[in-house]
Amino acid sequence: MSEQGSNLVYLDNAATSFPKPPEVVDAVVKALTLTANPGRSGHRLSLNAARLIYEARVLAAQSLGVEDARRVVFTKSCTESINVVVRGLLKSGDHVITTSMEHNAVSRTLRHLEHSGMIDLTIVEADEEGHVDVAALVQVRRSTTALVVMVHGSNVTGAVNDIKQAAASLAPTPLLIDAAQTAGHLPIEVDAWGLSYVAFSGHKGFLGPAGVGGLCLGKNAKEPSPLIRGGTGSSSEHDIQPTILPDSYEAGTPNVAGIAGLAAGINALNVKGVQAIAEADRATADIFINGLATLPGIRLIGPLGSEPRLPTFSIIFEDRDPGVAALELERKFGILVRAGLHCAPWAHRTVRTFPKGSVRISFGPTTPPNACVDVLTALTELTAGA
Amino acid sequence: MEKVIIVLPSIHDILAIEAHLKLHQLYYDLIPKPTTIASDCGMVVECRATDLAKVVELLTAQHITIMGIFTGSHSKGYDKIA
Repeated sequence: MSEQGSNLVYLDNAATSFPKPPEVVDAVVKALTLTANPGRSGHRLSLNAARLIYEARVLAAQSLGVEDARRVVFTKSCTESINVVVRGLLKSGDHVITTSMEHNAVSRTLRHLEHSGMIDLTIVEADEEGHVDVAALVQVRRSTTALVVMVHGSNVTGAVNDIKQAAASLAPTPLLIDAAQTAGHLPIEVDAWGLSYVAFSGHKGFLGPAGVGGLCLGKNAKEPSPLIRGGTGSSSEHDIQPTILPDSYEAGTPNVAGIAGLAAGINALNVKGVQAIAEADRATADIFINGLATLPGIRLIGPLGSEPRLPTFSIIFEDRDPGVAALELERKFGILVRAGLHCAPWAHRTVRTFPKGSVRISFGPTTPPNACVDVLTALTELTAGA
Repeated sequence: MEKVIIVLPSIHDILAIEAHLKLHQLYYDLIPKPTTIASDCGMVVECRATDLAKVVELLTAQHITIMGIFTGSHSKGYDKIA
């Protein structure tokens, strides 16, 4: 990979995937040059935009196992999607269950409602790898439990939770899944697994540009009240927000170029298929974990076994602050990683790496095959040179 | 050729049925929603009156709500028939 003449190894895919496939760049440019405002005007440029969004919605629905594409709503981020459900569904006196592995997208949103006196919050502790025991979620459920919010795959340790089992065990309590890290990396079947809500990012595993996310509404999920209201291009004669899907959640001009890029990203993924990507991720994990095991002075935080996991790894150095190690990796080896708390202080407390955090190394669908060896070689030299 | 226009809830629904109309090789056009029908944004589906039963069948199969069916033209105005 080259950026301004430098050879870089980008391993911060849990933040955003890079490089984007050329098809994604082309789709964004095409959208910016050949489309206008979708679903509003009746001219061809408006129709071009509407078609791009329609196709993206159908692709996203197919990728996530949603039979009716109208139940896929585009937002600007996974965070916004989480907020749509949490703030649009919960009412005063509700009890909410979540886990200690959540990102700030969940924790801050729920804490805000808790501190305002609106909800009662129970946080179920995950194990030190980041796995959540579904039975523990069931155990703390009350008659007033209105929602369970759970991360599918940890952005800190790469641990993956069994959301299919969670949905089955918790039914009929609604379950909101934060799939920011897993969409595009692991199979997700919203309808078949009985998931109520799945929030996803468009710019991580799905390879789209930043600024696009989405929310899948399960077949029988109660529709949350929209987070924002405004023009949708439909039922314009009424000053009340339409209740039809997907329009009710998509007030305002959508990010046409971003959504077009997302569609191109999903198409690029589909060439391999998500199952093949999951297997490749697992193979990368095996190489990386085995390689790390030979390096003194570095400890891997998270799952070590052969279970499904994300290609996201947190490591800590015996003799280095995470920030210093990340800087050295970039300056000495051109390897780009992320240090700190990764917007997930709860998760770092759970895996005992709070407050300094860790160095997170995250691979993605477009990471070159030699990157795993490159980073292991760099870590070897780094620890040998101390 | 007598034409009818069909009003659907959203542009998503219009494009969803467009795919099926193409598949069944039925004539259609997507045109701006006539303001004599509704002072609304967006588009409507125009098709042949003789194909209406088939189009309605396709819409029903796709669980798409029909907001209204009209005959007429821009110049003469539209009459709601369903």
